Amino acid sequence: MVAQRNGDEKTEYFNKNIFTYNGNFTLGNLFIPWGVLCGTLAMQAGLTPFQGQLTSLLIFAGAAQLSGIALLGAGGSWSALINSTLMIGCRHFLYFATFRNEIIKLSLIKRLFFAFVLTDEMFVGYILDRREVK
Amino acid sequence: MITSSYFTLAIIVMAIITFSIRYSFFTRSFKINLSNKVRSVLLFTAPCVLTAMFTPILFKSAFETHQMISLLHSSYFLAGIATIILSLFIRHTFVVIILSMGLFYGLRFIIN
Repeated sequence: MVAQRNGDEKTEYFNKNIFTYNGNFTLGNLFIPWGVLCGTLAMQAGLTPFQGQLTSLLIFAGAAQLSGIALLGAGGSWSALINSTLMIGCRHFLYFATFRNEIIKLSLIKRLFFAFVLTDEMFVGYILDRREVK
Repeated sequence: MITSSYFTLAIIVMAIITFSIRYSFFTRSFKINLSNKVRSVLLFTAPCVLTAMFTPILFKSAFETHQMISLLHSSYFLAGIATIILSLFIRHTFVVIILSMGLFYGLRFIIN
């Protein structure tokens, strides 16, 4: 099925869809309620509005962001913060193993970009898109 | 001592950890070869991981009270069931999310 597709064709797919965010705008919209949720939690935890914005701009990680904000609000230790971020981030290893072979052929800037934007939503969007194309 | 700059530093450290985990797989010096079979199994990662994340929240009240009957008064569980039913009839993902979020907030007002 998906795995049988030509590798070059898939590299081309990532190359084209870099700015349209996977070509799947519906899933891109899901970041709006997520951002509202994270912002509300950040305010409750005692972060300034600018820091709340920074969590989304810099971390951009979904679950890791939520647990991190909760830990900061509760005054958790550094080791708890680093460990939980590492553990939650580990699921991305599983995601990236799926399309590593295609991404690896792109230029450094594009690889850095995809390393930043690859999230749960994008992974699901990628799988759905591939099925529709087929 | 918790200050504002402490939070900023923590956010930057978290950003560095997350990004280095994500980018480590895309460096060319890191060699890994996966067979087609393993890769098609890995396509199911997202449903599995996300299910593992939401299931404890859905059954939260049963874990806390040790009684299954408490699920019927839990807005998390009821809204979750309603979302599953909605997703069977409406094929548009975004509409399902907006409807179920509205339903969840409504249930929160009524039940809790």
